[in-house]
Amino acid sequence: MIPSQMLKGTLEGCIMAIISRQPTYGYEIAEQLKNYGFGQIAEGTIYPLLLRLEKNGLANAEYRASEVGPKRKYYALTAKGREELAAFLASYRELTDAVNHLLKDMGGGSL
Amino acid sequence: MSKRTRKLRRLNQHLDEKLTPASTAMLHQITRRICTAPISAYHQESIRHDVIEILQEAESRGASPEEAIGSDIAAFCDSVLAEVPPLTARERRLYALRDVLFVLDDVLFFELFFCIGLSRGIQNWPILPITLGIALSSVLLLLSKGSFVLLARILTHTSFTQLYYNNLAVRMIQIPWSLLCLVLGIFVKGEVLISVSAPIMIAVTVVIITLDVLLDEKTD
Repeated sequence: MIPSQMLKGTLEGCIMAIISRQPTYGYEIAEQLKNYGFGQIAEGTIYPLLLRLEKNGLANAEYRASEVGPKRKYYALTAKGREELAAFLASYRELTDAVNHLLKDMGGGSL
Repeated sequence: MSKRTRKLRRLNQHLDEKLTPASTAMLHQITRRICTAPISAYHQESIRHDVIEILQEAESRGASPEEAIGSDIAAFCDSVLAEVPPLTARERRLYALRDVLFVLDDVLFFELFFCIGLSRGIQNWPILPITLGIALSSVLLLLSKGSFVLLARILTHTSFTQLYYNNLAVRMIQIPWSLLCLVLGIFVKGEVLISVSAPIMIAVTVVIITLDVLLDEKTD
């Protein structure tokens, strides 16, 4: 289980990566995160992040018919969102490289 | 309340009825917190709609509301509200203006009704005399409706004022109170305090009611 404090800074970027592939709704995002080893993340955790992406113009939302209950809200990455995702990936690589380097030098083993 | 908000609200009420008791309890805890936030009624209904979607999704796969939303409702609401644009200064001014008009239109209509129908107004047409009784009853009516609106605004910050006012329980208090004011106006005539021109009074009342209706449609 990844500690929530470690997840905080990266979850938004990971959600952007998921919705960059194809428009997706909250529960499906949670399922994909789980499949990638993030553990069980409640939709209640993902929903505010999706709202933030929408508010900042990084994602668009549209309602589509669902076989259960009301229409589902699908989120898709916008052009601005793609730029933000690229920036996130660059920053994340820089961070992991730095952490890997440090831990290797400190004898923490390679990651 | 604008057309889009009214439409979304009706849809939410319909979807709300289909939830299980556990989901309904969770939804109501969330909406109680959301409706006191300084965001527009449209955003409040949008959040409610999204939460219903999350809860129905959870129900369909046999998950509990806590598994879908999390056990800390306050934290969930805070994190959601942090991502919703707060009311702008312009929106706040429009809400305040609409509430003032909402208070005034009943009182003006009431005054007009008294002046034309029950007081000595018809005899002096088109001059309408405002007697002490009419003035007193209008002030009481203004105070009761004004204090209600003020209380609703303190509690909700936004546009649920008129919604609450149409609530049956509120109506049960408001109708007898209005009748009491009416009786007061009939029996406590007293001296004529001021005389007003009927066409001007009718025009002002029509303008205020029209503005109230238009503003209500324009604001979320």
